[in-house]
Amino acid sequence: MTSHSQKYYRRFYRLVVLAVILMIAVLTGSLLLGDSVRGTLVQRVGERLGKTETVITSGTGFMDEALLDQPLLNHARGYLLMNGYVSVGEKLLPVYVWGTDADTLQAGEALVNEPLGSKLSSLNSQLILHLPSHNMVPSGSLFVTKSYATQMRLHVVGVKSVEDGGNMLLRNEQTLPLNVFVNRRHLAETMELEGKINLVLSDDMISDGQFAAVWNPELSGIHITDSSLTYDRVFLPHTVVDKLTPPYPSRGKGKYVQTYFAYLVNEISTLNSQLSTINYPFVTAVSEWQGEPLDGQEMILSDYAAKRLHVLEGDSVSMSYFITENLKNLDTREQTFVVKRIVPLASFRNDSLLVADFPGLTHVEKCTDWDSDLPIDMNRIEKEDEDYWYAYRQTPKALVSYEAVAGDWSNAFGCATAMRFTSRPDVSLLPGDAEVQLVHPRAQGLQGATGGVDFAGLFLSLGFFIILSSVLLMKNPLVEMFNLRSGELQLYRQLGFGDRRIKRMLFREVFGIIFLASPLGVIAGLVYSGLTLWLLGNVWSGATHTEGFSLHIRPLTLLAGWLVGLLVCTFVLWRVIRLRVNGSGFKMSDVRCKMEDGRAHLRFGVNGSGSGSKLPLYSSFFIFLLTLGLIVFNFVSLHSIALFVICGLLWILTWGLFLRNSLQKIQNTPLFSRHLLTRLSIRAFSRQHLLAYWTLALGVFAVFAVGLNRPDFSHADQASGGYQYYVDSRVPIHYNLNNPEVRKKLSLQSLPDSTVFLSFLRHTQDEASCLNLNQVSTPTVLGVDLKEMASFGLNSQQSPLSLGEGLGERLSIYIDEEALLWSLKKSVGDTLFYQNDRGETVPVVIAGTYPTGISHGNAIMPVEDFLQLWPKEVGMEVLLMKSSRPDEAAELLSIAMSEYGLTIQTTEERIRMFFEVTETYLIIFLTLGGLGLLLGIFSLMIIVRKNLTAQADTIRQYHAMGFSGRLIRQLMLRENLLVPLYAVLAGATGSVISISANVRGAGLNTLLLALVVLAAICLLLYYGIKIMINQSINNPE
Amino acid sequence: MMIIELENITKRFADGQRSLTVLDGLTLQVEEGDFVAVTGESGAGKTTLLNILGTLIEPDEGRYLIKDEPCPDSSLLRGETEGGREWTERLCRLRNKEIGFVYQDHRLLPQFTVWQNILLPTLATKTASTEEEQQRARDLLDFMGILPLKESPVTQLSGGEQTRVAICRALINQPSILLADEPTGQLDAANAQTVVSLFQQVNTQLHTTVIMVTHSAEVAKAARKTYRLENGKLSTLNSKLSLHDIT
Repeated sequence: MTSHSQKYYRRFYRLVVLAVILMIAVLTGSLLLGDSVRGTLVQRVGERLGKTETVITSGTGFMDEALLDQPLLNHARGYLLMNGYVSVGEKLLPVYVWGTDADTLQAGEALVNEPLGSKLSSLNSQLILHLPSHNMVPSGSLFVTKSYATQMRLHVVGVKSVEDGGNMLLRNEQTLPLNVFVNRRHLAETMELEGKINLVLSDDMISDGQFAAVWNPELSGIHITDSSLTYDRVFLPHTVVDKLTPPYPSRGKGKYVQTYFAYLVNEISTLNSQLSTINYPFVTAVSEWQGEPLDGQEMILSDYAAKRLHVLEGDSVSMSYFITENLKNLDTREQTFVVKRIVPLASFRNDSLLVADFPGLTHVEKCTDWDSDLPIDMNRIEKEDEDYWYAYRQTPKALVSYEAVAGDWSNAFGCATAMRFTSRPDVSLLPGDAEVQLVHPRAQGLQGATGGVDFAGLFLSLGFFIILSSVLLMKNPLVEMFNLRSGELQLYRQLGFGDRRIKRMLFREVFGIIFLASPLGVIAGLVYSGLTLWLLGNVWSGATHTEGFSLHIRPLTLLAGWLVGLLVCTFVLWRVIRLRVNGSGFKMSDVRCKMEDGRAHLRFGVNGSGSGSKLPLYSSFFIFLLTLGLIVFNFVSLHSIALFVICGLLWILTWGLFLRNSLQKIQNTPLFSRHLLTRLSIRAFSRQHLLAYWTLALGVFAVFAVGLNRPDFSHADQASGGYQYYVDSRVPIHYNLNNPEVRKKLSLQSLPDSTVFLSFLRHTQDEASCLNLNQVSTPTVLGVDLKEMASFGLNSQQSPLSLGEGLGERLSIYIDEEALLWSLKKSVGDTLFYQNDRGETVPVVIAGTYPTGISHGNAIMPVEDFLQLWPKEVGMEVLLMKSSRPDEAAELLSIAMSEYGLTIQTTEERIRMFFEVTETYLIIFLTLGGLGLLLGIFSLMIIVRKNLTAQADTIRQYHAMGFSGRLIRQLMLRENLLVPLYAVLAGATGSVISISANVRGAGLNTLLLALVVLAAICLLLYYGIKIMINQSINNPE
Repeated sequence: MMIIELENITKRFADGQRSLTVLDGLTLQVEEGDFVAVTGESGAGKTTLLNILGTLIEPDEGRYLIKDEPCPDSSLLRGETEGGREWTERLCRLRNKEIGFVYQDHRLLPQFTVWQNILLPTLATKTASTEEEQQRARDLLDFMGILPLKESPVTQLSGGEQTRVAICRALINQPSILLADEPTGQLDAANAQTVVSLFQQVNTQLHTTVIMVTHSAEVAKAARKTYRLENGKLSTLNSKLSLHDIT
């Protein structure tokens, strides 16, 4: 019997099968997508880390390659890792340069990874690699060479495969890096870093304690003897000085520690009328010299200097020198000293701790060969100076009190150039003191990969409307079929079948079909996920910026998708059967009695029209007023996107309630009109019409709210703060480019006067933009003066900072809304933990947000806080530029600062890149939503068809009464089209409300497109319904 | 004056490869104000005849005149030409103004009240019922004795009440012809007698030509002329003069 019924009603079952397949496909496919993206990200972690379990980095410093000789590092590889860039065509590609011993690379040879290989015009070609100048002295200090970059001319000998670690990357990103592998010794030679490494990757899990046991300061270039301490990087870090200083007196006959600071000053001159000057002498600050303490403004002169200055002990001299606070904005300071003693020059010369080895200054033959960032006036260098240099090089001409100058001469990298002690201090330095840190990247990577963007949830929400439409697509034919079989149900009752038995029979009949169709849904789900992954890697690659994802099939996921889909279908079936079987009998609850003219009149509810209570009317008015109130309130003060979306949904609810009320509250008047006829006919099928209303209104709302929310770049002022160009520098820029002197120095004097730069310090951590699918715990931080950020929507005077004001001593950051929500999954007030330059973990509070824009994916930190955390990162790496002639300014900048490896792009281009992600997700949603809407319209057509079938008799009656065919069509069209059009209007207006926050953002093109789509939906409905009406009228039987 | 003239009407129905001739050269003339009953076995073609009379279906052959006006042919009816559209409109107007239908199953529309069902035909030519039509509806309800039920949903009425509503609806536009298809088919004997009386009253008091098809010989006796439909042709069973004929 069941199979006969299934066969007989196959036209309904075909639709049910389609709905079941669609629903299970979307459910299973979405879950598979989640698994696949997660699986791919985990796979990427494996690809980029290889077997690496422990990473040892030396921060801005370096380690000696002898470190690798430690047995603990038997399974470790040492690298010299640099950020560089290569020119491909007219583009600069930022690359990671791995100096390695692992490959049999000869000097001058290079391997590239596959992503970079695909960008090069041909393999076996020459590659010119630009590298920022990384010598031992920190580039942020004053005494460095002004060479900013070096070049390596390399011959690409092949491609390093993924399996060989070609895609090595230590950052938590799924985007494949561009890697160049070169011979480490060759790289070190080029960079003047012979014997140095800055990265060790070990296949073993190494703990901090284990590493500390084998590390010694010498390995990081800190040379400690029984009587002295010096550092390869010249400036002794504050941590080291602080650690060694406190327990010991700095002077005295017993145990002592003395701190020395060698410096190139501008001049020492006499104060008397016979002005004598020594230009650019080296001077060393000391607290004591050979048992002679130097206090306050005391100075010890070499006899050579005293002779040149014509001074005696007790005389006063003036000393001037450059100081810098930030961005090498030089200032000249002058101090007066009293000559306490004059000593033989030889005594200075014999003390190596009094001198420091400044590259560019100390290894030249003549003073005029000095290569330094300092603005040295070579014309002031006299013959005596050159003679002295020839004989004594950087031997100081004077010693001054450390106390007097330490504050001025100290910089972020250190506060001394050497230390002297009577005996080796009983204090052990730790790796962190030399910036050496241990990281276990795999756990972090896996945590980021598994905690990243939940694609299963994302695609379930994107495909929600398809699931909803599938439910309707399944429900409507079932309802229509059971209506058609109402006689059969009555017959079963008459034959003595109980309701439960009837329900069971029907359930068995339909569930059999559903069950058989469900595996097809799982197969369709596999196809759906495979297709979506392919689209994400190709057509929709803008959403993920990856080279594609691989399909990861977990049987448990397939089972879950199948079971959930089956469960939903079963629930829908159970609801339909329950309603139809229970509703096919006579129910007293549908009858109301009214006394009129002395006799009782029974009134029957028509198709579920509700009670006569006025509550729904009042409630719809209440919700209407509430919605209006919320819209106004939100417009005036909150500007909350979420609230606008809620208002849009409330708007649809209000319209739905009004529709329901208007159908229920039809007054019977003596005047009978076509208008009343239409309303009464709609009321007769109110349940179906209301179902059509909710389906269409919500579908249109979803599609339009998303579609209208597409970003428009003609209103990108706030996103870019009015700046036209975004500049990313591979070499930190230590100058204020707004300073005319600096512009002159950098050959930028031709920049239009109107050109303004906004510079950002950068502490590189994880990419937290929407381009990174991994969960991020510490985003890259940009340090900037917060006042400058007002034009970006971050107002330091507004509420976000009021929270910041209550933070006390804690450091604060601001993160753009999208990065906070999606990448970090945090909220304002939460704490992030960063490691400072000293390797200490420091809590930083998220004090507020700003609209997503040009600095998307980065945290913004007040520059003072930034320098407190990372005082060594004083070079600007990100610049924003605006100018009256922006293109000309950008071109000039790229030429004048070519050594810095600048990547210059328009802010619009960069913002578009970020918005492309949102845009692509919106397109995916629109595609899936549009598909869902089409399914919704299709299921609506089934409702209309059902209504028309039920109205076949009415149509015949109209014919018989002399209604013309045209009039009947008109009436039927009105009855069946009014509610769908009303729904489309409600959905469209609701969507406009939902995007009110961004209503200006929707450009004219988007609005026009929306109108076209709206018109298309209306026409589709109009013609679809019209065709069915024509069929019904022409074939009323 | 002849109000209806059917001449050699033939109507065939095709069912797959089988063709069935239901009416075979049928001829009928009905005078204005007459009360005609057509009897016949089930399947004899009574309803087909009534549908042809009501212009709901077309004969395959033959001529049909209402008040000496020929009914349009099928090509015109399908509106294939500009003139066809006019003819269609004319036919609808004719059906609306000149013909009223009463069916065995009443065919009242459940979504409307008694009042609305009765006024429904008035909306075929205009957007709302007039005061005059509303008054006429009240008169008809009063005439039929169901005025108190005017606001009731039709689904709550008894079979007899529903028939009366159907008659009221058929008469709202004061048609000259009332076509009734087994109007007493679902009624008990007492109600059937009442309904037949109502038809007689309509015929005599409102001067409406009534053509009723029925398989009941008893009901057919109420008519002045009775025809039997057999083998696609009509044969006269009886004819009695009425006061109207004499005058």
